[in-house]
Amino acid sequence: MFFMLVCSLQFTSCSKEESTNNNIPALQLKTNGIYTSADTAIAEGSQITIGLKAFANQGENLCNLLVISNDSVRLLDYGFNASVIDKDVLINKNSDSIQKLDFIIRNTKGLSTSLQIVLTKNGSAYKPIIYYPEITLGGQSNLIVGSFYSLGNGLVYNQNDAFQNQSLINLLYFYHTLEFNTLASPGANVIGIYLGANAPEFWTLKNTTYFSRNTINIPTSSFDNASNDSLIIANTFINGGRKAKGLTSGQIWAFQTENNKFGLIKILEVNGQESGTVKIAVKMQQ
Amino acid sequence: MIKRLIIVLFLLVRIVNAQDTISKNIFLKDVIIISTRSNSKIESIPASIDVVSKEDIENYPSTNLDNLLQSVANVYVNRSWGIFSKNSSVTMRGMDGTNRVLVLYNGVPLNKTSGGGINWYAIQPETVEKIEVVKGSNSALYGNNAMSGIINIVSQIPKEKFKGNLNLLYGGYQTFGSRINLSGNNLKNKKGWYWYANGFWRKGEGYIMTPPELRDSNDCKLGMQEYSTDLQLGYQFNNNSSLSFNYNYYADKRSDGTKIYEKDGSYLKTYSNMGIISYHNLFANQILFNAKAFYHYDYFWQHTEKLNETGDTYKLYDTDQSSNDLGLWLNATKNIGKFNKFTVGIDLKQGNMDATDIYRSSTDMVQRKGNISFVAGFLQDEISVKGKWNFVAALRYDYARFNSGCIVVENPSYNTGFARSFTEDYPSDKWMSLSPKISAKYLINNKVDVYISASKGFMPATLDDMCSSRKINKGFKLANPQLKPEYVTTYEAGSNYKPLNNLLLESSIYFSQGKDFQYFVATGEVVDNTSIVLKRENIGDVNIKGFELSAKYQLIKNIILKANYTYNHSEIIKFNALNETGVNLKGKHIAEIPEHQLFVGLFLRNKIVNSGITFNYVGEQWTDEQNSAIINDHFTIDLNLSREWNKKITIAFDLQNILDNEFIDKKGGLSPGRYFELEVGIRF
Repeated sequence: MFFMLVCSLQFTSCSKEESTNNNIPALQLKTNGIYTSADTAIAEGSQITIGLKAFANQGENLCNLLVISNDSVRLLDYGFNASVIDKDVLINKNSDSIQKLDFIIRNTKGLSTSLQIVLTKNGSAYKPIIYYPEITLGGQSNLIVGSFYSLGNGLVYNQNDAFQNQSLINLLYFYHTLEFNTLASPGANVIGIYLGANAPEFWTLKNTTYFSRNTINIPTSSFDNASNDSLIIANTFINGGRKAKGLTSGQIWAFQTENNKFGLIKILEVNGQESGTVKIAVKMQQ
Repeated sequence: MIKRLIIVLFLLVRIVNAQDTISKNIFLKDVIIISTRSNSKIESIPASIDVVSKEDIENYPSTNLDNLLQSVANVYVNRSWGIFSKNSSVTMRGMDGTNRVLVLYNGVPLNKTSGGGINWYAIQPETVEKIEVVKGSNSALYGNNAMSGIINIVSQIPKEKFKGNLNLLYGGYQTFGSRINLSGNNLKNKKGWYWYANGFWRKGEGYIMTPPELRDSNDCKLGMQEYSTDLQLGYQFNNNSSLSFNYNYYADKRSDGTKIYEKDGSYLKTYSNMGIISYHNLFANQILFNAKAFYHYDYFWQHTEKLNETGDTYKLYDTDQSSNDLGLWLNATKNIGKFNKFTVGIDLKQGNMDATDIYRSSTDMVQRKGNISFVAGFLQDEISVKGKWNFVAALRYDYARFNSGCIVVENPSYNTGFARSFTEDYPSDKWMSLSPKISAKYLINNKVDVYISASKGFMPATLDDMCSSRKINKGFKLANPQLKPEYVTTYEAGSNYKPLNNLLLESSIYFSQGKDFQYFVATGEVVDNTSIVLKRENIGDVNIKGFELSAKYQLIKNIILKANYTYNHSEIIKFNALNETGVNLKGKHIAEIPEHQLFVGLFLRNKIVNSGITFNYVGEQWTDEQNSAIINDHFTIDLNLSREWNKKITIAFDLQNILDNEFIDKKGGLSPGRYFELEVGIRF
């Protein structure tokens, strides 16, 4: 009769859910023609491709791939869950004379393996940029200022005009009680914010722009002084969201357009809510 | 057809006239309430009080202890996923948060200092003798947590030399379980040992709580497995003196309904140990002395995996948390003269928390911990004048100290939003509070009594709110080590009216003013591009007004009808936590508080079948602080049938939500709909 009691008492599982498999993961660099797999000298702003292959090595599943530049900047912080991963990473050479790249693969138990490549600066290859110094967008209930913006032609559209020019629209602005002042794109699952049959949820062509503040902390002076795409390239990202929520003045967001152009947005002013406005500045690759 | 009708009528007459049932005193006179700390009779206490008796427990359709509280006016039990919920939230009188209700087990607190919550799974209903519910602020006696009321769970004391039962359970969603109870005593002339042991196990496959239209391949069933053990050993020295030891152990593992890559998906694993030593003695037939020492250890491991809507961002992280609560509560009661009862006491309690969030799919590690110590002294005087008037005045002084709080962040990434690795020791803090209560009851005649009371409640912040920066359902919670205590002052009036010998009508009306109310406020920041950052702040003032009406009607000897209606209006009237988001919560309703609740229950006890059928209505409520989304009103009808054969075989059938009314809860999860449990047992 005491069987159950004994069973109950033995169900002690204070031990953490850690397995005893201590095999460390394996990491390799691809060596085919397009890949860089050894230390090399390249021009500032030019791009190389690193091919990474990692294996669980009969240990726990892999779950995190990190690429860290000069022990500080995370160029990639990728979460996944698999026994094998094959991933190509595009790296833009920054302005440092020596750029140390660490590639780290970690498994679910926190065990890791790393490799390193050193890039030496050899000249410059940065390109000029497009600059929109002040763009004003209205909230979804603003009857005067449009909410929609085309990064291609630099024009602000109201909802009706944006509906007629869906292929041109890259950004839109709205206020939501749980997301606050938000920049998004038509492809960001914006439902129930704008009213009417021409609201973005009914569009047939929805460009998607990705945003990130995850890995960047750019001083506004750096944004203001940027005259080529070096700052943009230094802050390209891989894990972006489709909305930039909680906008406040002074923030700088990195973005990537539907056609893979990167850029930076500086939030100049945020005024009000649904009927309010946001002022932004944009610098982006041509 | 006529023959069948006659048979049915015959059975009904037999049911109604069955003679061997226990006549139950539904009006609860003479019932002793130990949650008042002076072992007073219910009829003399100037407060709104309910007692869920052993018979109620046997007849009420319930799968867990908290279900029983659904029958109590102005108690809101939120267990939206049924037995598959991670936990249940029990709140009272228009205040949100489980930490604003003090829950006691045999007179010692179950609320954890770490977060204030209660594990309602840990105690099995069949080990419980009764549940006492005292509504309204009661910090004058109990201090922390007793903001909106007190619930005291009283375990059974074995009355027979030896008794046992073994039960097997089968329920909906492939649920299986079993329980064993053994108890006995060797009391002679009210002296000797008594003991009981209870073991419980339940396992269920569960159901998918994501609404069908939103399901994808990552949704899985809310499976669960749980075990508990409850032991009591006591020695009665004489009629007035006893020493007892309680031990409770609970462990479970519950899926949260998501399975992407991990073998078991996302899940929560907990276990807890609780030990209580109680001693009481009536010294020189004059001074009743109570001493209770307790220790409570809780551990949980939460394993979480998430994939965003577009399928390109995967997260895997674990939370490893332990918390301890240790206390010693002493009090003594002495009758001074014929009409005066004086109680004094001191309470000591210390609680700590140590937790680590370990992100597997990134490098972040966040450790958070803290400690709060409480010291309090109180005194209470109960005066009875000519059997007509009862006055109760109480005053308590609380001192609470927060120390050893810290946060350690290592290798942060966008997941937690911290800019760099750091260690921060939070400054120590201390708070003091004087909590008075004054109340009076007047027995107009043997049919009517009325009472009034004014009381103050006091609640320091929880360790989790002060020390924890972590992901929660609503977003990313930021620690606020500067969080101060909140206070509530409650004014209340009520009456009990017994117009007929078999009808009792109870009513109470109240108004509570909360100061420095602790509430979530969005900071305007966003972590990981998706999670809104929230911080618990002292937002300002809230007003709560409401009333409760209840009726108990003994239709005939074996049939009892109970009904109650509750109204609550909880509103923020002063908002002091404005920030750059511009959000002002003034005028908003407190989230997760239904304005209307209605309960109706019909209970029948007899030789053939004992049964209870209940109707529970829960009105609309806001899901969030900004009142932007609503949980629709919903109701359930539940049924309990039980029968015993020759005092050897028992069978019980619980059918919950007979009409299969599903609703969506605050997390967007679907309720389980109709659910049943069938339990067959052997007694020995």
